[in-house]
Order: sequence, then C-alpha cells, then structure tokens
Amino acid sequence: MIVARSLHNPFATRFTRPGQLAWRSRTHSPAAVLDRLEHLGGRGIISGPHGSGKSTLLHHLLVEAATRGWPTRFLRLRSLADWPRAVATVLGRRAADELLCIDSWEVLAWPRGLLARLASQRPGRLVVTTHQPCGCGDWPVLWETRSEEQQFVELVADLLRQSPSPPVEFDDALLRAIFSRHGGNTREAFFELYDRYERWVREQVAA
Amino acid sequence: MMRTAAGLAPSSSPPLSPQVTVDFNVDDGNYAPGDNIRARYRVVGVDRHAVTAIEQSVAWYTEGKGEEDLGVILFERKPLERVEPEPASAEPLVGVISGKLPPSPLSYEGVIVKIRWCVRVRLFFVGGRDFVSEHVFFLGDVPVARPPEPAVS
Repeated sequence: MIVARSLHNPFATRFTRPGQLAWRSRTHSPAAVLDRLEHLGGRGIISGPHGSGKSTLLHHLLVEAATRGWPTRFLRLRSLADWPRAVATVLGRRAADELLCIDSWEVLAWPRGLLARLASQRPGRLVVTTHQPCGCGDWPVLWETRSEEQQFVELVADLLRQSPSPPVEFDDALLRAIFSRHGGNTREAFFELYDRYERWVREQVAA
Repeated sequence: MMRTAAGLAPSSSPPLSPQVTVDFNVDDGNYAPGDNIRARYRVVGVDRHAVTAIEQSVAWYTEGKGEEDLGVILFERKPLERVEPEPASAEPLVGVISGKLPPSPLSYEGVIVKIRWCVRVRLFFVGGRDFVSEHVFFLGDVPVARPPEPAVS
C-alpha cells in the first residue's frame, strides 16, 4: 500500500537543485572548464538560456576548485537589491588563488558594467553566470551551456534510481516530449515531472 | 510498538555504506504538538573508528517546487574519542535524541509544497566526508491535500 504522506517526490527542488545532481556532460568536465579558466586569465562567463545548467556547472566548479585547494566563495544574486552585497563581496577579495562564483549576474542590471570594471582590478579568479554575456566588461565566455535531450533522460533516470519512494516509470518518448515542450529548459521539465509524480501518487492511493 | 524507519541519504558517499535505523517512542511516528519525542538510532555497516563525530537533530523542512525552508528544533554534535592505534570495529553506533516538539509547523502533505519533520543523523568520517540519514515522522494530523478537480463546463 502506498501512503502519500511519507513519500518523497524525486523531482522536488531539494533533489534537483544545482549541486545535487551528478555531472552528466559527455563533452566537458568541471576540471576541463577550470583549466580553461586558467588559460583565459582567471575570469570568465558561463552563459546560456534558462534551465540549461549554468548554476549546476558553477556548483561543480566550486567542488572541483576545492579539491585543488583553492579557497572558494559563492554568491547567488536574486535581485538588484543584492547590489550592496555584490559590491562588498567583489571588492573584499584579497587572495590571488581564490575562486569567486557569482550566480545570476544579469539581475544587477545597469550597475553590473561598473562592478565588472571594479572586479577586474581585484585579485583572484572570478566566474559569473548570465543569460547573455553583456555587462561583463572584457571577461571572456568561459562556457556556453546547452541542455541536451539525452542528458535530461539520464538525469531523470538518476533521480528515480536514487529516490527511496516507489518508482514511477516514464518512457523515453514521454520524457523527450516534455523536454521539447519546455524548450530544453531542464528546470521547467523537472517541474512538470514533479506534478506528474504527485498525480501518480494520489492515483495509487485512491486505487 | 516502536516504529523503525528506513533512512534517506542524499549526501556524499561514505567509505562504507552505513545503514541507520531509528525507533520512535510513539506508534507510527505520529506526534501531537507539544509531545515529547524520543528517538533511538542505530548505525551499522560502518567502522566506528572511521567516524569522527555524529550530529543528531530534529528538524523540519519544506519539500516541493520552490526554494526550501528549514528549521532545526533539537541539535547535538557528539565528537567521538579516538585512541590510536585502534582495530576496525563493526560494533553499531547507537544514540538517543529527545525533547519537546513545538506547536508548529504541522506536517503537511501538499501538492506544491510539503512540510516534513525528521530525525537526522549525520556521520562525519576521517578525511572529511559525511553521510546523512533522515527519518520522517509526523507532527499533527493534517489530511493529505488533494489537487483540485478540473472544472467541468
């Protein structure tokens, strides 16, 4: 018998948020991206559309950097109101080997160009994520993220395998249709699967 | 009757594969606001000398489509004393966490968001790795939410 109130939805954000999912790309590893960052002079932009894995890559870069012994810092920006926090973080940097990662750089809007110029004068490595590589001074594009259908199918398989709740099966054709319906936005596709899982659980309980 | 819950382990993989069981002091892990919780846990499948500390806590968290929220009600970190050299030992690690539960938030099984209460046991290993095991219990008796029926035209 399935008891709905003790089930974990495998597509809840606590299981799908950046850093929780295994790295799945076949084309590049976080280590290779960090090597490229070094090659580019220690500053770079991760750009890509919504739900394409920018934040996920950023988290895996932080883990890889820590294994290399680099001091790391992470700042997630939520709105323009975070501007003072961003300034304090960027200007407070002292260590040349530190990696500072800032997620959602674009929310800073017009002040980001000024902050980029100030940040370029500080020591240390810096990676920011943004949808469009503008307002980032002369920083090069470190990586452009692009979500892939097969990668999404494999991530779903990972989530279902790791879930302690009763498994629900989604066939590949359905997963590919969901991925396509959301224009390759993995986050939105996970949300649809979350809703489907909730409906499935309640149907099982009712039955 | 005691209830034994299987754990959920979303954290990093440990050197061995610990299995944590928790026995609650009430039937089916159902508590009322203000009740006293007493949970006994037992960890097997791990060399106890490889464990440097155990954190035990009673906490609630949200689970759903949005950002998570979390509250820790009871917390205790227990460093484990080490005497060198020590032979490997598969003897179980055991512990108890107890205290009074607050009036809220009540456990809630919603569609978009859920509120879960749990006993959490976190093991820290030599070398810095850790392992987390969560064991859900229930505070209050809020019925499971049902999604709205589609409108009929």
